[in-house]
Amino acid sequence: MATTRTLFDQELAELKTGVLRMGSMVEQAIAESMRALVDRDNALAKAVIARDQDVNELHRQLRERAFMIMATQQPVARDLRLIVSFQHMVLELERMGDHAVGIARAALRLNDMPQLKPYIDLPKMAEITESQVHDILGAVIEADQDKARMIAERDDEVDVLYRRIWQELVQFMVKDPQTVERAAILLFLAKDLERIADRVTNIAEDVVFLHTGRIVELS
Amino acid sequence: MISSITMQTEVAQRPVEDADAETKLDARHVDFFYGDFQALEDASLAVQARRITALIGPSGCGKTTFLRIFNRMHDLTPGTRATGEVLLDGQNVLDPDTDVIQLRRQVGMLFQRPNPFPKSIYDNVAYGPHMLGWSKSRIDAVVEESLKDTGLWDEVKNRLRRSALNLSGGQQQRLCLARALAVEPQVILMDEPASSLDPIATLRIEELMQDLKKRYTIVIVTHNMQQAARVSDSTAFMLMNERRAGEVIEFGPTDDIFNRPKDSRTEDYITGRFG
Amino acid sequence: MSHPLVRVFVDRLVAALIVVCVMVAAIPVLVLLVFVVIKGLPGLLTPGFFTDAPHPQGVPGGGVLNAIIGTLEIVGMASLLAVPVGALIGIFLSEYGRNQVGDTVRFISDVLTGLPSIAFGIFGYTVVVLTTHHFSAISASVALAVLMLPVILRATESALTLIPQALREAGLALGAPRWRVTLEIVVPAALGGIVTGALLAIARAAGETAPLLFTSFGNDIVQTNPLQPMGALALTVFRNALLPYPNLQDQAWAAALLLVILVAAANILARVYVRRIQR
Repeated sequence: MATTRTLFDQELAELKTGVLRMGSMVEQAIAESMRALVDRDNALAKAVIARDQDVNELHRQLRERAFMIMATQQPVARDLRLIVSFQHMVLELERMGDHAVGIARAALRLNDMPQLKPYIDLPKMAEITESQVHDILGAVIEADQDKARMIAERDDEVDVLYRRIWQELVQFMVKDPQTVERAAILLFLAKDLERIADRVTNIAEDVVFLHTGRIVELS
Repeated sequence: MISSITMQTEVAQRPVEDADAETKLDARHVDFFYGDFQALEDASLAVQARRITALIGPSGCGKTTFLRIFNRMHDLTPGTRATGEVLLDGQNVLDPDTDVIQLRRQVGMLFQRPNPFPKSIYDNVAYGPHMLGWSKSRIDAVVEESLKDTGLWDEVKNRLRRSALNLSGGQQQRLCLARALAVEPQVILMDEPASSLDPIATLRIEELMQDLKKRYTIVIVTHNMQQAARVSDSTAFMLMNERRAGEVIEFGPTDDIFNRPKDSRTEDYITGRFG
Repeated sequence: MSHPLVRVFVDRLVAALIVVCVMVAAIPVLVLLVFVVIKGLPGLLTPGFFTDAPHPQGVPGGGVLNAIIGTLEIVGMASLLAVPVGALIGIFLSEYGRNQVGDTVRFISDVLTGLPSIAFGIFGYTVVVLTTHHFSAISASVALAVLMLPVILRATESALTLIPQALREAGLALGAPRWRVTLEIVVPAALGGIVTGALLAIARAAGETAPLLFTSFGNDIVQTNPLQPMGALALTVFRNALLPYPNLQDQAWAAALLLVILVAAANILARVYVRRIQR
């Protein structure tokens, strides 16, 4: 369909591309921060922390660009929903990046100490979370609200693992005071993962809003 | 008739959901002809009392034609014919027996370009009441009240006897509004009332409309979509079909039309993707 | 032809040609005016010109009081007949005349405009003089009225047509019936044009000679009875121009000058009035 707003459509497309690029940077950060923990790789952890600057910068640029489009193009209906959703997604992605940094910092501290226990549930939790992040970006590309809803539902699996990890670590701390420092750090690390998964749900809600104009709470 | 178009006219006929809404002006299946040429096809619209209803759509879609049927102004153009019903409080104004003079007092109109009479400000506003034979004191009162209602009183109260043509465009349009209000109508039809005014004057008219809708039912035709979104409670979107006749495509609460329009053609128009 | 110098030259050449044309058109008129002023002023300034009736031929002195009163009365009566009727027809044509009837009226009006003025004289003669067996001022007024009618009619129609439709719509949208809109809104708005048309028609009628020749016929006696023959300035010019008496010839020139002044005054009045209306 011939459009009379090619420049505007171009700007919207560039915004979308930016959002997706930020998404893949965050996806990578999460994966690498977990690997830094499991492989006890300090160099990788430091790299994740350093690259978060790029994520923050991209966040700033995309927020600015979205705002400029609203100020100059007066979008309505689906265009407005698009820009508002993207602004919100970009914020969630930036926070997810911060959580990845949290995981990387935790890894740096834990790697200086003997490993408390083999990491089983944490990597499992991370795997689900990482696949959620990957899939939700796909749902954004395809503008698929049904897919977004399904991804949000997997949040339950993440919550189950999180509770298990908590119970296990609390038990450790109760039995042996020497483990408290490491267990505590691991608890916060698990919390970071859990928050990432929550934010995926928020992004899923944004995808639904983009299509229906309604703000719904998922899962 | 394609079934999807039938569906859309179903949507157009559905009254806007509102607890205390009554339908003031109800257009049903209106067809309009210039001689043999059909300019409006099956147009329906339920205008709620004391609300602002906007008619939007690209040029030539028939919105002004539709508006002018409501106060039988199409009678002025020879060779025109309107079929269907337009019910004002239940009475069909298209009925040949209708007292058109009385109708036009109840349904006033504000035009695209201000058209004050080349008389004094006072005489402009007083023209209608004078014609109705009101007493001098009553006329004086209604002139003051109408000018106050349109925010002009303070600006002109010391020069009521000066020519109306010396006022600025925005003031002239407000004067025309005061003139229309002076005969105590129930409905006010506005045909792109701000299109010849600067942005400040436009906003003043829009503010006035918010005030006026407490007492009057307003139908406004506008090219300016942001204005329609700002000002109206309900919006109807019209389009010219393949037979070059205008149709009502979608009609609903303004919030819905501008946030989640049901018809893709409506969405394409309001996002500026065509039009 | 795109060289700038050539363009400038052509521009100047055409401008010069236009000036020449204007001079060719204006000079005869100016010469005429100067001639009339020079020849007429002495007569105008002669004592008694404005106050006396004409003396018998051969007797020196005298004036044109009869003609002044005659022109005023004949043209005045003609205006009383022609202006209201012409205005009303003009209003009809403009507001209700977009049809066969209107076109017919317009056609007749255009034909009348082109008629030689003596035809109106014959009309006045046939309709009034023959039936009353009298020359009279009233027959001249009738003839002049018919002559003025198309001018007033067309000017009124034009003036009303110039009024934008938006004004009528404004009135109608208030619930005013058509006749009110026409009389209370449109006509007052067009008054400038209507009055101008009337003034110009009056100025023209004042200067006509042929229609008066066998209707009011002329009268050297100062009198105001419209049923009697009456003098007029144009008739004075006509009659006296060919007489061998110098005082009468002077009076003829002066009468012509007076007519010129009258016509000029009417035109100026029309313009001043229009400008005042427009403010």
